[in-house]
Amino acid sequence: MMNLDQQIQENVFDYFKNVSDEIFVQVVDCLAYHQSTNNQEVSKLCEAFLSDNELSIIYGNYVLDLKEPRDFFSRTSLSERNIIDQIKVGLMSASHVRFKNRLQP
Amino acid sequence: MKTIMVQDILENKIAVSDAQNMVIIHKGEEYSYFDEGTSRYVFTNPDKTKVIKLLKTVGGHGHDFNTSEAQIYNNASDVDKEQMVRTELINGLIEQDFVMPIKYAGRKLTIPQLTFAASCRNEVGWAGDKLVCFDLDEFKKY
Repeated sequence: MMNLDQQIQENVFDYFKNVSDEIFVQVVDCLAYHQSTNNQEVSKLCEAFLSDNELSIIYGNYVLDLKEPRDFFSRTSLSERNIIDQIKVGLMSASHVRFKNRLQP
Repeated sequence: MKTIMVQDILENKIAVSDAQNMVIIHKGEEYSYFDEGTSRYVFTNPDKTKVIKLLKTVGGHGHDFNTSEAQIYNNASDVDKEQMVRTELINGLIEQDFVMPIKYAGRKLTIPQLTFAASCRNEVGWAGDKLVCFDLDEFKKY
């Protein structure tokens, strides 16, 4: 059986499997590297992914924790941070797989 | 396999560690060993509809996780109870509805289910198609 971290990654792979490489790389920029975007399609896709997976509030709090760290108080719990970290790993793994597929004839 | 009454364990006539290899009679039904954690053994009935949890250390000065678990359930809101397995304290043992732990079920979880499981240190199981926490000391603690 897959461990739970692998399952998170597989969920990420499945969610974005039909998204083009051009759009997907921008999704990774947004969700994994916290870069803003002017592309409506990317923005909507990121919002939909977070909303569909009930992560909108958790992700918002996660970003706030990163930007405004406090010594004795976090907006997110340990498990929530772990889920977002694993999703970021999943996004980067998916990027690697796509890159590898492009290199292979 | 030897059959014993649950009272024999609760009254310390038989060590609970030895009971792993025995059939325990509780409310006229047979329970056999299913799993264990750091503080308790879990036994289930043949049709896997209920479990009983027995403390590894009966009496003494150890923390009574069974009493704590019953208190957590009884004090929980109705909304939280929806995500907890039904729990009852009977003469010092915990009786719960059986749920299949995710570590044994082999079913794929969605991200919301994984988020809930992680918040309960993965001590959750399937009640039909719904995930519920069975180790209430861990419920949304992480």
